Amino acid sequence: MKTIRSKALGLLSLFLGAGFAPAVQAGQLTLGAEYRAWTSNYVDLSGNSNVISGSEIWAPLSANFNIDRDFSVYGQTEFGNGNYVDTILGNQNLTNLSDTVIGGELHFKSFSTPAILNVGLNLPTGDPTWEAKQISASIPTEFVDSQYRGRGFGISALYGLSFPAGDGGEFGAGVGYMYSGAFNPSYANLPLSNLKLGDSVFVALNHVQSYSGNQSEVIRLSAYYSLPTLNSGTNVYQLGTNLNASYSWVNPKDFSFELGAQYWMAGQIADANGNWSPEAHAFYGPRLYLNPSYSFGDLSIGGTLKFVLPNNYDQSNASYDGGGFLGGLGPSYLMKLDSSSDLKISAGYDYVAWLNVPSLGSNGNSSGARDANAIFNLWTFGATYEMKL
Amino acid sequence: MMKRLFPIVLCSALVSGFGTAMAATPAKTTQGLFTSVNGKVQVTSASGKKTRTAQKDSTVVEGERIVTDKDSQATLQLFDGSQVDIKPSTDLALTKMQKPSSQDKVLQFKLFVGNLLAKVKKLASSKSSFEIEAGGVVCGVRGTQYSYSYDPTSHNVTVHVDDGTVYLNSNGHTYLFTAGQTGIFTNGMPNPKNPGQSPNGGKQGNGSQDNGNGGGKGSLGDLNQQFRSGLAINGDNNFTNPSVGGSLHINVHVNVSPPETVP
Repeated sequence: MKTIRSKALGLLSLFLGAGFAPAVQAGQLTLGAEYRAWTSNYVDLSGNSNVISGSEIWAPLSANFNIDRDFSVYGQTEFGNGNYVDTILGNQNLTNLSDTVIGGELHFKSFSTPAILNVGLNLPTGDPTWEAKQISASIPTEFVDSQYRGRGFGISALYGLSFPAGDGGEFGAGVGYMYSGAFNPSYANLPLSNLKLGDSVFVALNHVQSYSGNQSEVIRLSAYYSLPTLNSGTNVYQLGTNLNASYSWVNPKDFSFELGAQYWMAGQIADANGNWSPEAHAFYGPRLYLNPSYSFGDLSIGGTLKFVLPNNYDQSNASYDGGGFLGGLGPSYLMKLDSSSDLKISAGYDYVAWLNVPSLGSNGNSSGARDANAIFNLWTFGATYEMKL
Repeated sequence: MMKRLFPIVLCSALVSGFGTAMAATPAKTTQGLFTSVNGKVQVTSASGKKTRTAQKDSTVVEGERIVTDKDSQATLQLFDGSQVDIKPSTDLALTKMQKPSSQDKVLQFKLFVGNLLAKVKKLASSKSSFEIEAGGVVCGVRGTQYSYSYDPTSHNVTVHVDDGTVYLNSNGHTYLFTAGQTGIFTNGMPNPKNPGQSPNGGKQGNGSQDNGNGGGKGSLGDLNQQFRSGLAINGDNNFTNPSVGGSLHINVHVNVSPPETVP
């Protein structure tokens, strides 16, 4: 607990120290509180009658400061408490700070066109064992991103250029790199203990077109190429290249939506000596999503519809994933507190169906057949306070 | 009723607004006072039912709307000593003119069309604000002088800063402009030819995922979002793959009820 407090105080002083720097002219501080809870029809194999479930309370903190008109710095972290029930460890209660991201964003002219350089550091203030401990109790990350981050030191950098494209339009092109440092998530049930998750290279192209009434449309194309994940310096796994495409229509006073697709190519798996062999199929199936939203002034309602297609492995193969779908709905309400601050209240419900998972027969033993669907119900409630500095 | 629009000409005369003396006729705490009126300047009441002609030393209050004719202009002195020069063919609403305490003041205006030169008295507290909204872009200051114009036909909002620093909020992004800079926003978006813009990355900060639809950030802000969200997704995929840590992830079963039997 003392360690946690010292981490929190250190980060707070970092943010406040930046805030009182003489050169700072404006910025924003964001404080949040979120409660998430989920249940499922998973069976606890330890013999009791619990089903897999979890609840989390998060308190995210982020801040950014404009040092001058072309340079800003930012930082974010969150404090969390999670209660998880899974098939491996039973009940767990975890409390800690997550990793902390700090960085700077520079705008400048490059090749006579507006450019951006964003460099961020992932500081290992979090618990590297948290995700390994909670993973069996989580909704699969192909449907819902993992909230906690405790993955060791990392550096990310993005360089982008903007090109005018007619009246109210512009193209953006960018390249990025993410370096992942040492990561030790070891606990009894995870065989790997000295990981280095694969670095990744990012390339992207987008087109933003603005229209009257603050409406806009955005077309995005991007790709991630992942380098090998290592354990004690030996090859373990190389995630296949990820391709993404999406289209967004944004009307802040009416209907908006984003329609997108994500695709992963087959990767490589290494043997005990680190020798590669290609995956027969990509482990992660393609994903399609639609995020519509409608604004009624300060009140808006957003939805999510996401389909994860099954991978191409045979159901008898341990690498088979049946995919599934997610349907979610959530209202949010923005309250203007005064001229420099506002409060956003939000809630959400998500229904997740993970298809074709193994079942237990009436005798309580696994039949081995993938003849059941795992169902998750996720509820979220949150409040975010934003203050201009 | 909108007047015909005229080309926007930015006024950048360097005239300090600080310490401007109040006129001989004292205004009430939250009133504005016309210190000069040239030509036809009309004031419409908050209800919109009554219209009167502004005259020198006459006053206006919160909620009222000021319209200048094509060859007319006026200077409005606010209760805090700030001054707004209202240029020809301008339509301006006094949205808020409040003084919650001795230190705080809240001054908000909506510019429907036209051109202003604002000389803002330095704000004495963090709760104080001086903001002008036009075309979805909110321009605020902490004590400075700047001109601000809005052309609803082209949806262009233009700001030129003479002194100090001005921030503009548009679609959840803050842009800073300092002395000598001009900013142009079209449809609430920074014009690609904007000489000075510094988006700060939106509500969740630069280092986070943004689950919104990604609009209103421009192509560079949107690249940031693509990069961050992709990092999160692929980071999860790396970690949860069975070869890495995900073998635990798939070790789950679902209970199936025994089939019902028919007696």
